[in-house]
Order: sequence, then C-alpha cells, then structure tokens
Amino acid sequence: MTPPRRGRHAAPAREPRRAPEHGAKRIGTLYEISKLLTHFVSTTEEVVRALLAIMTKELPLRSAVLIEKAGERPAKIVWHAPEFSPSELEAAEARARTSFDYLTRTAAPEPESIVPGTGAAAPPPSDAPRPDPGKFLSLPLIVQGRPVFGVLHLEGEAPFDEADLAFASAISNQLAITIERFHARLKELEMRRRAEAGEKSARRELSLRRGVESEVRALNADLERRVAERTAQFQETIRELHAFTYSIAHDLRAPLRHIHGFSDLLLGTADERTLQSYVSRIKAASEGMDVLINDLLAYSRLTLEDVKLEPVSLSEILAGVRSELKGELESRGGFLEAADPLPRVQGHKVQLKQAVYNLVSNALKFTAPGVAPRVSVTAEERDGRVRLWVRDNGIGIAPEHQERIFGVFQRLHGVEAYPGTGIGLAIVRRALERMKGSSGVESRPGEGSRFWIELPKEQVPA
Amino acid sequence: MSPRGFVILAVEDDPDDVFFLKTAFAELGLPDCLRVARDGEEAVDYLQGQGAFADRGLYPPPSLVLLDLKLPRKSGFEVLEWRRLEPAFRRIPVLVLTSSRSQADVAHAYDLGANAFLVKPIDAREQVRLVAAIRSFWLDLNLLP
Repeated sequence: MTPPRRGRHAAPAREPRRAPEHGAKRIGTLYEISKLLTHFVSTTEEVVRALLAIMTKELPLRSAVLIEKAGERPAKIVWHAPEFSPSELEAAEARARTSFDYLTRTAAPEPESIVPGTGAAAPPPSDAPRPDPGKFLSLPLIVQGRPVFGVLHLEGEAPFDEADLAFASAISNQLAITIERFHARLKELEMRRRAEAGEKSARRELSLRRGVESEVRALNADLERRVAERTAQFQETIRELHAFTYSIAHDLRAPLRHIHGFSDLLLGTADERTLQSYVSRIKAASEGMDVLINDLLAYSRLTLEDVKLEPVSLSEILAGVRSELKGELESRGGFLEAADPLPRVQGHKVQLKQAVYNLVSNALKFTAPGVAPRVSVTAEERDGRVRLWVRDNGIGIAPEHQERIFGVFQRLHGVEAYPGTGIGLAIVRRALERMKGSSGVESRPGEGSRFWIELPKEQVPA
Repeated sequence: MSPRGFVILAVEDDPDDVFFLKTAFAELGLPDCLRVARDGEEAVDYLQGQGAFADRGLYPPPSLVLLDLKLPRKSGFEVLEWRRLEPAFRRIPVLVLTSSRSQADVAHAYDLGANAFLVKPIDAREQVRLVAAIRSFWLDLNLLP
C-alpha cells in the first residue's frame, strides 16, 4: 500500500495537459460547485451526484465511487460511464473499498492528503481488464482535524495529471465539508428532534406524573376524609360509651342506694305507716331499676344488632303500638288518632316499632296535670322520604332543650312529675340513625310537641 | 333565714335522695336549714332569687350549695360554669354531691370551681354523718365570705 502523499498544494510538476483556458473554466466550475454546496440542503446522494455530474465534464472519468461513514451508516454512491460493464464496476468498487479501508484505518492521516490510485489497491477480479494504475485517484474525505471519514475514488480513461489531482482534491475537500456539514446538520436535527421528543415525553411524563399526583392527592384526600369520618364516628361512639358508662354508674347506682338507704331506715322504724312508705319506696326503686336495665339493654341492642332494612308498613307498626299502649290510653283517658293508611317505608320492623312506641308513649306521658292526652299521627312524603309526625297536646319543650332530650339519660323533669329513665328519645334517635333515617322535634312550651321521624320510602325489590 | 343562721341549698332531682337528705337534716336538728332545687335551672333561679324562689324570706341566699351533677335541664357542670361568671355567687361554696366516682368528673368539677367533691353514701347512717361533717367543717370551722 502506497503511503499517502502530499499533493494538493504541490505545484504541478509538468505542463498541464489541457490548455490554460481550460484551467480558468475549471476554476469557474469550482466556484459554481462551492456555491452549490453552500446552499446545499438536500441529501448527500443528490449533492454527490450533482458534483460528479460536474466533474465528469471536466475530467475524463469512467467511474466514480464515493464511500463515506460520516453518518451513522456508511454510504456508497457510484457513478460510471454508460458503457461500463458490471464486472468493471465491481472491480472499481472493490478498489474504492480498499482505499476506503486503508484511509479510514489510518489513525491520523495528514490532512488533505491524497492517494493517487496506484494499483496497490486490492487486485480486481482476474477476468476484469486490469486498468492502468495511473488512472486511479483516491481522495480522502476529511475535514480539518478530524479523522478521514470516507473516500472519493475516481477512475479515468487516461492517467490523471497534477491539475486533475488539484481539481479533484479541491472538489473532494468541498465534498467532505459538505457531507460533514450535512451529517452535522442531520445530527443537530436529530438531536433537536430528540430534545423536542424528550421535552414532549418529559412534558407527557410530567403531565402523567401530575395526573398521578393529583390522583394520589385525591386518593389521599378521600382517605383523609374517610379517616376523619371514621374518627368522628369512633369519637361519637366513645363519647356515647362514656356517657353510657357514666350514666350506668350514676343512674343504676341510684336505685340500689335507695333500696339500701330505705332498708337502713326501715330497721330503726316502729311506726307502721312509715314502714309501709319505706317498703313501697324500696319496691319502686327496684322496679325503676328493672325498667332502667331494660331500657339500657334496648339501647345497647341498637348498637350491637345488625339492622337489615326491608319494606315496613307504618300502619302495621302503629297498630302494634296502639295495642301495646291500650291500657295506658284507657287509664289516661287519652286518644290516639292516625292517618290510615300510612305509607310504607324502608326500615327495621322491631326498631321502628320501638321508636314509634317511645314517641307515642312520650306523647301520652308529658301532658299537664288533668289534661287528657290527644295524640295524632300523620305522614308526609317528600323526595323519596317519608316523615311520620307524632303530634301531642302536651306541655311542650323549650327550644334550648330540644336537642338535649335526644341524648342518653337526659331528662327535663324530675321523676316525680314525669317518670322515666331518660333513654326513650335516645333510643328513637339511635334507631333512626341505624335505619338511615333521622328524627327531630318542633315544639313550644305550652303548645304541645310535634316529634318526627324520617325514613326512606320502601324499596320494592325488582 | 333559718333559726340556725344558715341555709343549705341542695340541687337534687331524685326524690329519694331528697328524702334521705331531709331525714339526715331532721336527725341533726336542722330541718329548717335545707332548701331544694330539683334541676339546674331551678338552682340558678334560687340563687338569683327569681321565679318560684323570689321570696327571700322563704328562700334565703344559701351559705353553701350541695350540687348533684346529673340533673334535668341544666347539669351540675352547667350550673358551675354559670356560677363562675357570676361575681355575686362565685364565692358561695359549692360541694358536689353525686353518685359518680369518675375521676374525669372530679377533675372537671374542680376545674369549674367546685369546692369539694362528695360521693352520695349508700348507707342512711352515712348520710347523717356526711351532713354532720359538712356542717362542722364548712359552717363551723370554715370562714365563709
């Protein structure tokens, strides 16, 4: 393999083969080429073909092979004279590849060196005519300070002279710059495209992440809300439990204490009438305790029992309550009137009956002395819910006490005036809560009360 | 004013408990010294000398108050809260007398300015001893405002 030899600026050693005007024309051509390349924006192949087309007018070329690997993939562009045979072309290509291999493997070739075709290239296939070595010209494609990235291999009809060499190397240099620039531009475009794509994907990732984040936030908020809800429920339960145990400690102990106290007094009493009164107080205390335990159990059952909601007829519920309160109604000379039929609701039969019973029995209980109780039960439907009203002609309730009375063991009156454990309305409220309903009261002192409970309308199974 | 020169207001809704208190006071020879309010609202009315308790001859300002905690209408705690904001009644000793032994109640009552916390005795004899002790400490030994 012949080492590359300095040549571009070397002065022609011999007379140019062509006339001087020919050289001037070549300069014009070179100028055209450089102009063409400056504005070149097309593919490598197009520009190479354009250049070769120009070169063939100026040089007696039979073939030109360009091999370059400035881009990611090596490219090969081949031009040849019309009468070129496939085997000739193959041989020319093989020589071009040999030069390419040699030149690109040279670690640091001298810039702008040229390798004139010397026949040192790989031997052509044996059946091909062996061209004159001087007819080969291999020009490295190189840009200042970079490794050789390709070769322009020319084969002429006649050996090339120095002027041809200068002209061809000028073109190859232009070509190298152009290809390099083209690939740089491609690379830049690619990078920009990647950057844009990256930006886009980053943006997409960001928006995705934002979506995920907002989803997480929403989930967190939902979780927090549920935790807060459950915490509130627990706090309510704990508060209730506290009130419950407190009340048991207080209210359940009272009758016991009374039984004990009266028994003590009993022992030191001789008077028959006093004895009688103590014994009856002991009896009353033990009965009161029994009622209290029943009420407490009824109330705690509301918390423990599973409530399955099903269609319930309020008319049936009221009929049951009426029959249970029959004795009470008669002894008080009371009157219970009810709309008939009453609507059907979605509820729990036992608990609903307990609630209605408590409301009606309260209505019978809290009347002024000497006043016969009159209770009326009506219902109204609104927005898929049924509200049952229990109206009385009782003593009424001042607004400041209307919420309090629904608490456990809350009483507005001494047991002497109106006996009771103070659990009745707590049971009503709790029962309605468990049946997904609500309860309340409208009242003014002296004007009677209107207690209500509200439940969803019955849901007829499909 | 009672012949003894003092009156104790018991705020108690339970008639049996009122009965035991009355029995104890009678046994100690102080039947005229006890007045009763049956709920928190009545207690406030009594202290202010209004409503059913407007007659100061019958219902003189008490030297001390025995206060149950579980009361209709206004609880004992609510009465204590009210009293704390009333300069005229803030200095009247209030002894809580209740069934509750709950530590939380004890703390809350003292926080609200109760002067003592007593648990209702189960024994009638104890009740008498309690009233006697209250009298000797709070009314004989103790200097009232």
